[in-house]
Amino acid sequence: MIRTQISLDAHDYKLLKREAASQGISIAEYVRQAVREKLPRAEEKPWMRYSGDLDSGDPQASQHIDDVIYNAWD
Amino acid sequence: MPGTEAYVDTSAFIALRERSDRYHALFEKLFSNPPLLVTSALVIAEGHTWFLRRHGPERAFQFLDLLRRLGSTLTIHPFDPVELQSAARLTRKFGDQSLTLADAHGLTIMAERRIHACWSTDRHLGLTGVPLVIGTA
Repeated sequence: MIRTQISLDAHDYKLLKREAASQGISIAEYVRQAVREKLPRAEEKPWMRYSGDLDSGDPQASQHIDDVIYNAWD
Repeated sequence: MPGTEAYVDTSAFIALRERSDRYHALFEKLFSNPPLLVTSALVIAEGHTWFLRRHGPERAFQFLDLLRRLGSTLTIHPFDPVELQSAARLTRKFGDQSLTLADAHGLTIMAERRIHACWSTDRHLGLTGVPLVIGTA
């Protein structure tokens, strides 16, 4: 990761802090997600804008389908 | 186009979007330069439900937008009464495997279209011998 600094006006910072807290994530993570959503990603493949746009923190997210959808494990 | 298509399971869409998923890097690479893709209408329903329950309505809507953006790269195979009978036979054949109807339909599609590549992290999709991409990467 690249470390950088940004300046925000006080009102935006207050909103940012509140929104991040409401989602249970850090201000830095909230900003990273916002930037990721805003930036174009591989527009020649427009579906790739959704690549990596979610982070549940679960390395086995794609293997826990039946329990989420059908409320059951194998 | 037999032999040149890949079947995409619900788990592949999830691994593409979930950056902490252990297979995210693999599916990001695959979706970056895909062959013609085929999926089941039931996978669409499963995927929408998964994103809805796990991440809420906005993320579920974005899943539908992802499908729209795939355009002609993705063929969505309908689930009609004939497909139902084929899938039902498979759920009976693999009755000890807790095979969902969506998985069974996927296996049916791969057999009918002679698809030899399966984008999935779900071992059920390998029951009929089609290699899963996670096993060959």
